[in-house]
Parts: sequence; C-alpha cells; structure tokens
Amino acid sequence: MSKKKKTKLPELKIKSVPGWQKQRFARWLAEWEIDKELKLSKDVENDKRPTETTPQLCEQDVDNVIDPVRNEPPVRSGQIRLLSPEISPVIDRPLYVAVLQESKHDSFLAAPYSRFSEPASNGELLTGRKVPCVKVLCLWNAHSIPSNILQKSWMVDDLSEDEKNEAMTLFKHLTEKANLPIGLEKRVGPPIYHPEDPRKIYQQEEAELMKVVQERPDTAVTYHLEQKKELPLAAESRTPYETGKDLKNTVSESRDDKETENPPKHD
Amino acid sequence: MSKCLYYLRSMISHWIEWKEKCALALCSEEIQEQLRQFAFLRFRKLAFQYVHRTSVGNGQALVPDKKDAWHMFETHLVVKTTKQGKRYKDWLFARTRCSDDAPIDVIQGGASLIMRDVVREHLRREYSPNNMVSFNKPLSAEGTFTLEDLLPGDIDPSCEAELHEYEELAERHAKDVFRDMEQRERVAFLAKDIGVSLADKAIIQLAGCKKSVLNTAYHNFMKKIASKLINEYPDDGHESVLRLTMMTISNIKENVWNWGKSEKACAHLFAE
Repeated sequence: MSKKKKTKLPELKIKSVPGWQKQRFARWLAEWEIDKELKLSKDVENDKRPTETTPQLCEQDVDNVIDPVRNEPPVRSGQIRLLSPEISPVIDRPLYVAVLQESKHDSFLAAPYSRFSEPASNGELLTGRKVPCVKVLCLWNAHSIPSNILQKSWMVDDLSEDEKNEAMTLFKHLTEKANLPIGLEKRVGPPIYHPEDPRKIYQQEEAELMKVVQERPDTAVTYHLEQKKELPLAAESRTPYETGKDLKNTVSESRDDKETENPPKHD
Repeated sequence: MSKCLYYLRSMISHWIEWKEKCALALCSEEIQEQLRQFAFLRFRKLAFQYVHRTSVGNGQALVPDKKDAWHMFETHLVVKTTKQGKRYKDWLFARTRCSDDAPIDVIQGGASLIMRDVVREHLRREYSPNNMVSFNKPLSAEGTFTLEDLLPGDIDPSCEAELHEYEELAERHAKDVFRDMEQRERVAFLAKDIGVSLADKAIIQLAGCKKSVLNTAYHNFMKKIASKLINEYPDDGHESVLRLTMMTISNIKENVWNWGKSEKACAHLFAE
C-alpha cells in the first residue's frame, strides 16, 4: 500500500439496516454483556470443600433417582433431546438439541439451542417457544451426530411439523442458498460481517461445545469428509470467497445472503 | 457428626426428595426452606456481580425473595409440564456419575450453573442494559467499533460498477498486506478462518508462540490493516473505508487459505 497515493473511493449507495435488526442486535449484545459479567465469577459451580469434610455419602441414593438414558425412546428426527453429561461433563449447561433429520452412516442431523433468548446471527432462529432453553435454535452449529452418541440423552419433547420444517428451511438456506421465506426472515438474527464482531467469540464458544460432542472417541470413526459431502453439516464458515474447498468438520455460519449479493470476484 | 457434615447430609437428602417428589411444594417445610435459601443465596451472589452495570443503587433490589428465586430456578428449564419436560433434574443428578467430587458438590454446582442462566434471563428481562448499547458509540471501552460498524447496510444493486472498483482495490491491498504478514499472523488468520482454536497444539506449534501471543497478534493485525486503509483514504467517509477494509480482510483470508493449503506444515489442518 502506498502511503503517498491518495485515492478517492467511489461512493456507494447503502441501504439502511432495518430497525428491527438493529434492535435485535442491541438486545443480543445486552444479553451477551450480562453473560460476560456473570461468567466473571469462575467459582459459580465451585462448592468444593476439602475432601475430608465432604461426605462421600448417599451415592447410591443419588443413583437411584436418575432416570437412565438407556430407558429413553430411540432417537428419531423431530425430537428435542437433552444431552447427558456422560457425553461430556465439560459442557457447562444442560444442552438441548433438536434432532432434525436422519442421515447416512447411522447418524442424525442435530442442532443445539442457544443459551440466549435472541438470535445472534442469521443462522439462528426464534422457534416461537417461550422457555429460554429452547427459544433459539442454532442451525449454523448443526452437525451430523452418530446415533449411539445422541442416544445418550433424554427425550424432552417433540418438535411440531412447523418447527421441523422451519428449521430445515433455514438450514437449507445456510447450506444450499435456498430462499428464506419472508415469515422466517424476521425470525433470524442479523448477519455477521465484521471480523471483530463479539458474536464471533460467542460462535467459537458454541462451536466448541458441539466439537466436544463430535470428538468423543466413539464418534471419530464415523465422521469423515466424504460423509460431509453427502450431507452438509452446517452453514459453512468461509464466507465471502467460496472456493469450494471442504474444510474440517465444523461448520459455522457465514456464507450468508449478503455475500451472495456481493458476489466474489472470482466465482 | 460435625455440624457441617450433618448439614451436607441433610442437603443431599433434600435434593433427592425434591427430585423424587417432582416439585418443591410437595416436599416438607424444612426442605422447602433449605432449598429456597440455597436458590436465594446463589441468585444474590450472581446478581450482585451485575449491580454496577445497572442504575439500581442497591444490589438487593435485583434479587427476588426466596420463594421467587426458587420458582425461577425450578421453572427455567421446564420444556413442558410432564416429567419428560423436566429432564434437567436428571441432568443435574447424572453429573455426579461423571465426577469424583462429592455428589452434593456436583449437584449444587450444577444447580449454580443453571442459576447463572436464570439470573441472566431475569436481568435481561428486568434490567436489560439496552440503553448502554448505542448505535454509534463504541461497544467497549477500548473498542473502536460501533453497532453501526458491525451492521453495515446492503449495497444498492445500482452500484455494480463502484462495487467492482472496491473489489479490485481490496484485492490489491490484500495482496500487499499478505506479502508482509508474519507467520504467526497467517497462522492466527487461518485458525480463525477454519474454526480451529488458537489453543490447539498444532496451531501453537505452527505459530511458534502461545495462544495469548497469537491472539494479540491477530487483533493487532486487524488494527494495522484498519489504520493503513484509514491513512490511505483520509478524505473518504468512515463507512466507505470500513467497507473496503472488510473486503480486504476477506481477500486476505483467501490468500491465507491458499497459503495454508500449499504449506506442508498445515496439511493436517485440512486433513480429510
């Protein structure tokens, strides 16, 4: 870049961002700020006392009141399931997933629900449910998960046909550029453009959770690239300059509408 | 038996009874009192952390009474009113199987994690700092981005020619910048782009530095590009330069991607 050369950039006509998108983003940011603040207390979970004073008691009693996941109905598409901590004890919240579609290799396409009440990006959908833990579905973070892993969960509820269809519509929009019906347009969050957008940090955190699920030793065998080609695993992350190259198995949202509207120069 | 041990023994039996009876209202008064007290104390601890971000002078104002604190905890994750819809209770207890810690610690630890979500939801609804998020003020103390920067509007389709000019400029700038990028900057860029953590061992080895250094390198690099373009286009509006910066960064990503693909040391990151 030459410092001396002063070039004037051409003027672009920019459409204004819809007010509802700004409001939604502001609400999400507010929630994010609260979350950050509350997470400052690292010891929120930490009640630990010296071992000699902690009673190693009642383990049997505790065990007796747990409904084992092995008694749960088999995983089917159209279910909401709560993943067992057995899948990964490091997941620090009850993680609910929507099972969207049966896929090849004895797997299911499943998307997690957000911890927040506002959709962060255009890969997240307001489900219409009121309960916070199933209010926002993260289609950008959908993955194909082997059924033996997904079976380690409790069945919580069924998705309605509408919920399932809407989720799949958004998923296809993210992965195949299918049109998003007007009704759904206003139920997703605003797209992410900026590399320093705080939503990228959030996405990284959420992607890590699903990565933990995926990277269980018993899932590794079934998760290969050729499988990915048959079933897109989530909205891809390498937004603007689609090179057609497959990349790892995590996919995060980003090839969104905007980028389609501003097509890459070498497409 | 010490007082502490007695307390812990009774607490775990309270939690068990609550799980078995399905709702606190069906438990004895003592249990109701103890568990509500637990919920209240956790709620208060978390809410107090946030008080400085609200206009409420007294932190106590953020905290509901014991009964409400428990009610919020107990209903926060109820997807439907059947036993099936309350599976979070099984999650809470099943955590004990994955931990070497005492069951009471694990159960109350899990309850505290849920309570954090409960408090966040409560604060969001009741004390949402919407007024703190201005559209044109920096989002953070050290930040230079505004909400408007993060949400740029669409380009009018009539500006095709102008857009093409931007694309050409972005490509040229990206080429220049990429040429001068340090190894760690390229690695950080690549890791972010393909969704690999900067803490990943392979990434750290490739970059030759720790995660924190890599993270700083990434952010500094972003700032560097932004200031270079601001200096280059001093007479242009903020929005135009920002648009060009983002397009340049996209181009750099592509350059870094191609570099990564051609580097033997990065091969495993792209392994099928």
